[in-house]
Amino acid sequence: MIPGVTLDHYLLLSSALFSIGLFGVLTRRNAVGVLMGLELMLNAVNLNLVAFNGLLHRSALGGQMLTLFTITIAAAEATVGLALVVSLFRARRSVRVDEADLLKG
Amino acid sequence: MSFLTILFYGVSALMVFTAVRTVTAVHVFRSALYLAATLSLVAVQYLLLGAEFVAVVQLLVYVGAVIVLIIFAVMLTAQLGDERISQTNRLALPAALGCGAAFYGLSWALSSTDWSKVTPAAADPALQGASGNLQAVGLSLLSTYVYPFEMVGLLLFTALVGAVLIARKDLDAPKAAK
Repeated sequence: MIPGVTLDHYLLLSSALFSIGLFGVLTRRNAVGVLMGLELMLNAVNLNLVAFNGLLHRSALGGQMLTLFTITIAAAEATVGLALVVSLFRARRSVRVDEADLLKG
Repeated sequence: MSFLTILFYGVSALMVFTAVRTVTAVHVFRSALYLAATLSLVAVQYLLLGAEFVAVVQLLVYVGAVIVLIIFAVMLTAQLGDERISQTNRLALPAALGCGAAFYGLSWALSSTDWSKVTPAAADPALQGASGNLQAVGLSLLSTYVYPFEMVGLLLFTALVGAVLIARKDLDAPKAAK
């Protein structure tokens, strides 16, 4: 417990982090930048979960467990996403998301 | 103000700064380094919240593995390092306004909620007698959360096989072309 720091501080911090990540996902032109924005958003959610666990539900571990599982799933997501980026670069010589229109009729 | 309070505010301010630089840096490689800094600062926040194991996992998995993967992707796709192409699309201003509105809405929602009315979760019987965060997490992973733990291992294995399959060089090239 930190004196003067309440749950609201952590929630405010993580919503700022989430909004910044959302901005990155919406505006980045290359696929790796979009993935980095996604990682920021996932981290904001994880910070929220650990803050709820540490400041509200101190006798259980649900928040920390869910954070561990989210970290694992985010690692899996990053692996597959970056493999797709490499594969896209091989096929089109470009990683710009606005140029990846193979499925457009 | 105590030392921990100053540390919290310092880490938070630095975190917002590095996160903003992550999404605005022109060079993608620099952006990845700022992302590494942001993720390390999140690990410091976990430490301040008393979640030591999660902090270590954050450093190992995110800063150690995911950042290395991202930097590998930047290196493998040469175009990413080119500074001359614009890194943002035309919708940067509407997106900034939308994200500002999202932040405003979130902060309004969380400040108008009375968190003291939430009933704390019941104590987990599996954690009786656990001393410290590390032991509690270990006990919890192998008792209450053992099925999700095994499932997430299976998912990670599937994702690794899938990633190798997707990134393989001759995925659909005809054999005669070799």
